Amino acid sequence: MEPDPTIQAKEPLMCLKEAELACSSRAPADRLSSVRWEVREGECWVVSGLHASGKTGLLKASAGLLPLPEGRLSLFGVDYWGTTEEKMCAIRRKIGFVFEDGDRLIPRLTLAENIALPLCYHENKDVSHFLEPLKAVLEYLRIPSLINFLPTQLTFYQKQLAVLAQAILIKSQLFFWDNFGEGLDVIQRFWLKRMLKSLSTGIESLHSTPAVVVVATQDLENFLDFGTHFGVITENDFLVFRGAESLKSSENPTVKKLLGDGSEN
Amino acid sequence: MVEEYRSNIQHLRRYPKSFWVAAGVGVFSLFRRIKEMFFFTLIVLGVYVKKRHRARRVIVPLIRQEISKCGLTPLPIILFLSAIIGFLVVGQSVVLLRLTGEVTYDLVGDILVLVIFKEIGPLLAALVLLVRVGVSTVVELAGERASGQMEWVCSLGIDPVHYYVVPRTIGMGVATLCLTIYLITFSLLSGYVVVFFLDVPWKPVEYIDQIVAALKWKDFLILFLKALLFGSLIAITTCYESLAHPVQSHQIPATIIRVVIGCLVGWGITDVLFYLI
Repeated sequence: MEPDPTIQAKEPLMCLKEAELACSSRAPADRLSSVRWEVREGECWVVSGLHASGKTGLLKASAGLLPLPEGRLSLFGVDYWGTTEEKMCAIRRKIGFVFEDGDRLIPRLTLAENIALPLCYHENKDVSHFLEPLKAVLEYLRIPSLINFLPTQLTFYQKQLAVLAQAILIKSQLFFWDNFGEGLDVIQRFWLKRMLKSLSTGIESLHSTPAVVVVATQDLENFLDFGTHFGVITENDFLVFRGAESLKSSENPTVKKLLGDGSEN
Repeated sequence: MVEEYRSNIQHLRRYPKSFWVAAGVGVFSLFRRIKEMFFFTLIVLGVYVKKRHRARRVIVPLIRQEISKCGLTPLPIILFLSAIIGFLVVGQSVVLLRLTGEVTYDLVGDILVLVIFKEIGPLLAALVLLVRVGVSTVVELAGERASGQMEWVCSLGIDPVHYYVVPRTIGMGVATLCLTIYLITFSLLSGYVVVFFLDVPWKPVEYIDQIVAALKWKDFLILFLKALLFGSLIAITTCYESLAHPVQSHQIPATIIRVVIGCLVGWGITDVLFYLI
């Protein structure tokens, strides 16, 4: 699939240049070096790799949650680690991130307070101010009855939906989802994937603008229809593929293994 | 280099070669901790000053919650202790003055102000707050840090010091001041009950006059500052120990011990500074 030249010409939303990252916290000596990665508007990315290959580290570094030992991260055209705290904060507000274990909501706040927390904090408003749009988002995600529940009363899936609701509410322009599908059943995975797709195309009924979605998963085979671009972490390298066809035609053993034709298995 | 130094210190702390090595390591660790705590306090102050007008609709309710939690939870034990303190201090003073042949008991007011108002009041209120709320705060914050809530808060562009530390520092400071006032008031009341039972010929007005005569405006200022500082110190120490370093669940008991020791050392230093000033 050839990229759209008009999109290619735009400034990338996220750009990693010559970055060096630890592959795994358990083996810090294993490093991904000279990573170059650009994410532009209109793209939908699937990042994959074997277990403990460094997907989480790569996503966190790309979202500006992990300082880079080497290299440069640019988010929305700004050198992230070289800018002021105010600009960093403004950039952070445009980025959504679902962590690997997903269960990060603040236990003493209700679902509504958790979801609206960044808006309340940055816009200095009460949660009641955002109740109407929040209800609409929860209605769209089919969990309106959970609005006053505490996180301890929610299932893992509902917590993940809550973070997705937050991304829709704060109108995230760049949305990262680490280790998608882990701990979910097939139907939940299917439903979340559909929601993610609609987030990337924009949800008209909620006046949400299209967001660039970056999903990290080990289940690459089931995401071939999802991404427009693919990134695969191999031994010590990060390979980028435009379109599912180029990915399928790759001879790289890690790619093959991830796609399920692993002759090495 | 720094890592090597740290691992050496850790090793020597666990397996000291001699008493002097253990003492040296202890002193070095104490100074390092005091230095880090000092810088952490500066960070908290800086964040408070810089962001005092930001996100008030989120931070002010948190401060209110903290004041209510820290001010109400330890109230029953504070009332109980204040009754005991008043009983003991006034009772012992009267007995001692009788032994010395004193018949006017004029010194009771001075003793009450010196012991309860200046020294025991803020210290005991802070100690109770530390045991009743500070320890649970360590567990709560260390748990939130370990389970990644803080990382989530950071990912939303929220300053964790502003969201977690500032409300606790203000809340615990104000709550300690309130608890100190309760403690002193109830101690003085229970003190009068003792005066009454020990047949000291004082009417309530005379008892109050004794205390008022012993008080100076400076005492109120010192009480106010001491209570605020002692309470804020609990918050700073608990937040520093549970948030500044990653704490795993098995390290929580050791962290609690460090918090208690840190607070005691901090209060000691503050008390000495007040005395010197």
